[in-house]
Amino acid sequence: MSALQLTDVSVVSSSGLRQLDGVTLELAPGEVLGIVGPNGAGKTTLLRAALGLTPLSAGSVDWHGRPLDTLRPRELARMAAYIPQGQVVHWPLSVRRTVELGRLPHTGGIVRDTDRSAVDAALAAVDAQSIADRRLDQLSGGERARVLLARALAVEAPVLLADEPVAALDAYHQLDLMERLRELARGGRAIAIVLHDLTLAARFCTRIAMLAEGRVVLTGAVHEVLSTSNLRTVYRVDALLGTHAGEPYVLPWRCSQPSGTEG
Amino acid sequence: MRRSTLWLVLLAVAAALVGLSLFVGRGGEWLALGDSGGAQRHVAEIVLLQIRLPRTLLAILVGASLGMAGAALQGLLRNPLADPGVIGVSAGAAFGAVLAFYFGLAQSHSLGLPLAGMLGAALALGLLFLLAGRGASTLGLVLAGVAVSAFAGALTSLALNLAPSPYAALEIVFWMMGSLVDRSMDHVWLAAVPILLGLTLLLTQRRALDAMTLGEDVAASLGFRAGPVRAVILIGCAAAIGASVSVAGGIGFVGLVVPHLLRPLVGHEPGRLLPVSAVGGAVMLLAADIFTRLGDTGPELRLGVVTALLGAPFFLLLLMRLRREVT
Repeated sequence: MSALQLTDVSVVSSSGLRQLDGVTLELAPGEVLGIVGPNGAGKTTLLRAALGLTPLSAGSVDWHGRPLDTLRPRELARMAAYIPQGQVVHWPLSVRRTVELGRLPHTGGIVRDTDRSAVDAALAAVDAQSIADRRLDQLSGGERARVLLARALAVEAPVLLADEPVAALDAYHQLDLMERLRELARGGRAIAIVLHDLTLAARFCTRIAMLAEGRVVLTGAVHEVLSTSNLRTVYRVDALLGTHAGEPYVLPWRCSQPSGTEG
Repeated sequence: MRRSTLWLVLLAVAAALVGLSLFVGRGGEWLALGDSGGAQRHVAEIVLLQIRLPRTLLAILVGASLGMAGAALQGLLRNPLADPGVIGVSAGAAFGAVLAFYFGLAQSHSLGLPLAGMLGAALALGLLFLLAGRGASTLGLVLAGVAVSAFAGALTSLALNLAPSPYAALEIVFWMMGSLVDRSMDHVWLAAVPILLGLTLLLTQRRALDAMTLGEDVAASLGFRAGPVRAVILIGCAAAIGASVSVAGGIGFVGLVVPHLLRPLVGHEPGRLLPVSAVGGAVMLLAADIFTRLGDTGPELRLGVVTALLGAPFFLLLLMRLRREVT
């Protein structure tokens, strides 16, 4: 059974803008699904709709075979962890307290031993034990991103939805975070991740869904979706594709000329 | 400092202040119960039970309301500069009370004033929900609070403007400065019910407020939807603050200052801050109320004046520190 199934999902904003248009998408345990597409394609709306943060205009969302609207908020909270784009932590908590917030769907407010071990495991998964007692406002951007991932991992949910988690990170920390996510998927989690960096998508995702104007244009294996012609029609860029040591890379090279395509 | 130590210290200070509040009178005069004279002892008992006890209980209730509501709103709005006044309920309660003065209700019934205040607070809350609407954002809520506050303030000014005599206007102005003098046990009971109800509602939202630290979307993904959380906290604050202003008048800065004083001691988690801020608010208001009695000359020093005199410089310090952190 798929961990998450979206069927014909449409989202129309209050101003009448069609943000998602008949999206059908599946997320299975053990995979890293890369959600790519140009700005405004509906990538963030897709994650928000899956979590019930944005009301659906049509279609249905099922978590582990159960319809979204039959799940109580706390049940859903145990099924899916969410890392939004550009996440802010509003008070300068310690790293450990921040990660402990991930246990809220499980506790009545008291941190138990099982919670403590979950927090320790989450900190260990991102190599953050040594900074556990530091305050969040004293961390570098890379450390913060790791702590926010640990916060999501502490939920111990089978599904992780991450929206641009690497956007503000340098090259080292981008690769580091993506490798950790790939490891987590190998451990059985289902991971969907919104990405702008196409090389990261090509290298670390097991499957790609490409969105444009609220529709899923294509889903499939990396080499099927990230092709020169798809990138030209969807992203309007000419890209160089290649492999290095057997792994793919995508290098967007220049804005494609309108005359070369049908526009 | 360990949390248990902090609680012990806070409760000890609170207990000491309760003792002082019961026995210290105008000009710092100590109430003597031990004197053998029968009539004198009788008078002392009346002073203790019918004057000082309600005053002390109200200081605890109102202080706890202001402290906890301040902490809850700062947590909900994720803004350290929020205070109980931002949602406009205090201004609504004040306007209701002013109307009671205006139409002589305050003079004819001893509880007319606080009841009118509570009605004003409830109307302000209704208006707030109407303006902010269902599913409104936090920013929408703050703006609606500003609007309600400004409107109620304007109506209060209008009442002052149209006051039949300078004496009536003066009475209103003095009431708005806040005081706990000459309150009876009836006032205590009247205020205690909504205040305790409101504070209980706020305490149920401790974990939700902790989750809000990560933003409304992540809080929702942790099982705490922003809409219901906001509604419960607004109703809780409105009940506690509306009742407080109705019996005690305008008392500023307690709700703003107390959570800030306690954050370095208990940490920044909004949930953890709620109960401590209630005790902290009670301590601050007890102390301020005792302070108003120490001078023995001239007119009574108003409670709201004292808290603002202490609070405003602190607020400035806070702003300067924030600016230093930003630049």
